[in-house]
Amino acid sequence: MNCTLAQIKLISLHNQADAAFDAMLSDHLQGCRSCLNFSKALDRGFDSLTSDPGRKPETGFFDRLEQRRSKGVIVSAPGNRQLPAVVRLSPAIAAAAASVLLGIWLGGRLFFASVTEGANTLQLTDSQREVLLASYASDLQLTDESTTAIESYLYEPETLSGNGNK
Amino acid sequence: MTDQELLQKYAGGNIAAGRTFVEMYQDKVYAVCYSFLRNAHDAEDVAQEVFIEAIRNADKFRGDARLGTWLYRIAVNRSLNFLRDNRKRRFWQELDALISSRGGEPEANHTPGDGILEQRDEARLIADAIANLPEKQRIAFMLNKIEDLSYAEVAEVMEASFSSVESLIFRARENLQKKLKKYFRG
Repeated sequence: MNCTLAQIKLISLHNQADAAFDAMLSDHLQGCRSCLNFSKALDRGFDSLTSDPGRKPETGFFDRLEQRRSKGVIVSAPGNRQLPAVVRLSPAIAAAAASVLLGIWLGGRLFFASVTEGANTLQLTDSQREVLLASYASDLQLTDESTTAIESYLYEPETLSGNGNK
Repeated sequence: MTDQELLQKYAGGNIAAGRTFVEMYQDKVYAVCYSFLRNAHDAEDVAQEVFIEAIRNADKFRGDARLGTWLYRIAVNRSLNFLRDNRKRRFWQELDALISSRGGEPEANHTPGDGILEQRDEARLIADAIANLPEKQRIAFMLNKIEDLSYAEVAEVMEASFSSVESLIFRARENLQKKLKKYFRG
């Protein structure tokens, strides 16, 4: 067994023991001071890590947990991940995102305005509007006086608009 | 009463059941968080979140895995998320609490036998070497070596196959050996 293999084995877990391999390792350690030192240092180092007194919560953990739950505090200490994503965005990124959204909205408004305007001027003549309005009224079955008033209300602006185009 | 029943009752508002349940698992959950965060305040904070998440999702736990494994998984995920969201905080920074009386890196030419490289230095070197492993290797190795979980349990927590955990731990050990041998030569 060489030193590299021995040292890799030494780092491994005790509960993954392999009797045959352990025997070879033991032989190696008897004749290799370097690996023996490595082994002792690792044992001490890992023991120190796993016996750290900080690895147990202070007494009253449950009471503090309940206190937190009763307050409905879901967000943890400042800087924790529970902050909403939007809050974590830097102001510059948020401003850039807002600008893009505003641009899309404005662009959309302008585009649809031009399409609508183009459709009115290109596709509808005054006579066509009259026919169209009459057919709307017919579809809606507007026959009494009140519906006539509504019809005239709808019709007049279109007539004025139609005259204006002449 | 099983631990799953205790959790269900706790989620339903039974504080006495909650106390029993939390006290049953608080040390293990906290220890996992502490292993990753190396800071008592952060570990407590994240450990509390683990229990809050468990209570919220109590009805989703169907008992396919052991409850302890489920809590481990939440603890690992929460701890990693905490670390990812606190990048300015150097991982294991608070290990200094453990070695506060000594500063600086140990000299590479000091060996354990010469009395200069002390136990706290050894712990620090090992902790730093683990901290610098690739994430999956680090998780697998820590759960296995520090938290004393078997390969099968690590596989369950990481939702990975047994063989991939074996591979991760083997590569972690190789990497650690390379990192540590310059300090620990006789």
